[in-house]
Amino acid sequence: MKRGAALDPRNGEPYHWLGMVLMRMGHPDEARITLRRSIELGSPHAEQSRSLLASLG
Amino acid sequence: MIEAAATNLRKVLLVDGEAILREVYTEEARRAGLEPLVAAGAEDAWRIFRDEQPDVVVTDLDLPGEGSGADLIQRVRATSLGAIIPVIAVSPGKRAIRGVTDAVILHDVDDFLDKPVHGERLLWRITELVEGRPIGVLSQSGNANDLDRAVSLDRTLDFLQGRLEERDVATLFFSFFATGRSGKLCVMEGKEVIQVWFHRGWPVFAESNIDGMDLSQWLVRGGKVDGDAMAEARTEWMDVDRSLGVVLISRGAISARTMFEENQANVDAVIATLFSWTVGNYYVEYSQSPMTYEPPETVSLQRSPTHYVVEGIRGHYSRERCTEILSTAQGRLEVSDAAPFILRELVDPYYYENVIAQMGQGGTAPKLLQMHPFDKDDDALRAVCALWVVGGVVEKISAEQLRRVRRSTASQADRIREAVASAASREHPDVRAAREARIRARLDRRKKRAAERRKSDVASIMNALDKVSAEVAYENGVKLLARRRYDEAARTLEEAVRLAPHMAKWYSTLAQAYLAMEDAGPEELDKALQRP
Repeated sequence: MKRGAALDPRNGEPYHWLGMVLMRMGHPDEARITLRRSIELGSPHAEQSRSLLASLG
Repeated sequence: MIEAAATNLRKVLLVDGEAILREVYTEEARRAGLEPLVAAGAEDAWRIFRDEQPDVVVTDLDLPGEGSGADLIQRVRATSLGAIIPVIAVSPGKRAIRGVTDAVILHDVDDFLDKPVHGERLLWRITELVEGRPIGVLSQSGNANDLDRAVSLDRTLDFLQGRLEERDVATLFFSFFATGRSGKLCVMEGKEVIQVWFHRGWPVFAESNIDGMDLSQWLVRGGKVDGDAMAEARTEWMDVDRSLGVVLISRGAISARTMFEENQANVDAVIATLFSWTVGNYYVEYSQSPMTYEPPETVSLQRSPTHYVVEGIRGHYSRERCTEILSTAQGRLEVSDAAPFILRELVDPYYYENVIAQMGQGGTAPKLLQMHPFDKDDDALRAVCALWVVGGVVEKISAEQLRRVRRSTASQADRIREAVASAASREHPDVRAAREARIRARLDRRKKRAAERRKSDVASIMNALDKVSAEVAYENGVKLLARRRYDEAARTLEEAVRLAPHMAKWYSTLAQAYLAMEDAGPEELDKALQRP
């Protein structure tokens, strides 16, 4: 998943999905960073990323 | 280590009336590592052909002076050497299309090119036509004049049948290999049948009704395809105009690369079995035009026919059988410069160096058979027998034998040629025009496919197979995801990503599959997954 995000580092979408997977795997800190990156890059799912970030606190 | 002879460059006879084109061809041929022999007219070309025995002939059909290109081709094809080497005709343009079709029909030209001919393109065609044939066999050996094999090497034949007791499997393999032709070899023993398809002299597909040898059984028993998936694919295959292999790949039951590799392994196994047969009926169908012949499955690019002949003989031929084959030699034996190229395929330094060194001391076949290690070592005898069959060991035959063979093959070729000419003269003009149109269409397809083939080599084919498999896996993964079969979707998408790790977008889909695999999770995640 990280490789997928690195392949297209200016695309926010892979970061969004990677953030969700990290969250599910129980890595909230990494998930937080990744979801922020997704929002910064303008992912089409930025709104959902924001919601997830909020839920992480 | 045996060194290749210094004279092992392939000789190409280039015949063209235009001096500037001869210069261009000569320069390009040298750059490509070929030895160019040039002639301005048919008579010069004929003299060079007899003296130099080229590996390939390329001739313009419209030549100045006495004799046309078609006349030259006819003379060349009537010789035992000319019957087996590739001949390319160059056409001066569409006006000569009638001449071209005549040349193709009557003289079995391997290919023709329209002028102006690009030097690089011409050399690519030459390389393709001589590929797989060991250097030296065609230019030096007596194989073309071998009494036993002259019939099977006659390019005018399109069908051959008989019993294995008379002409063994290795010789039948050799007949494809030496002529670079396409076609099918079918051998029957009792109720068991084995068929091998050849493309340009290379075995590409094999099948058999022997239990476990059928490719579909092979795939299921080897655990490469699930039994249910095979049954479903078979059902679909009955309704579509595609091979079973293609159906399996398109359904994602097997990756294209695995299919390619398993087909190769299946070909190996079936051919290995075939070489153990000593009795049975056979028939051979030769196709004059490789491009009209369609192999039923993927094309093999991994092993030459030489590999199978050498391995088959070493694996299955007894001392008596080898001795019998070698005893057909009547003249002085020599090791051709093709031998190192043939034995290079065997990772075995003993056979590569020692046996050939022993051969150097030989003379005739009876003397050779008494020599150490041949009088004790059956493996060495088998190696030499294999070299004899595929042309690594050649026989210098007497002038009298040569005359006899030439009379025999020339009269046979003349009879067939007369029959074709006679049939052509009786043909209605419309029928002939339709036949010529079919030939032109076939040649067009041949050129188109040849251009496509030029772009690929083994590596690129394997990469393409991976790409196809990856795309199939991805599409199937997406379908499974939509059907909420998340575990299967994740596994299928993992396979897609493994085969095509550069496809950034696919990782996102894989992530969705991973996330969906978990039944429980934060509400936000589930909500996110609901999006279309």
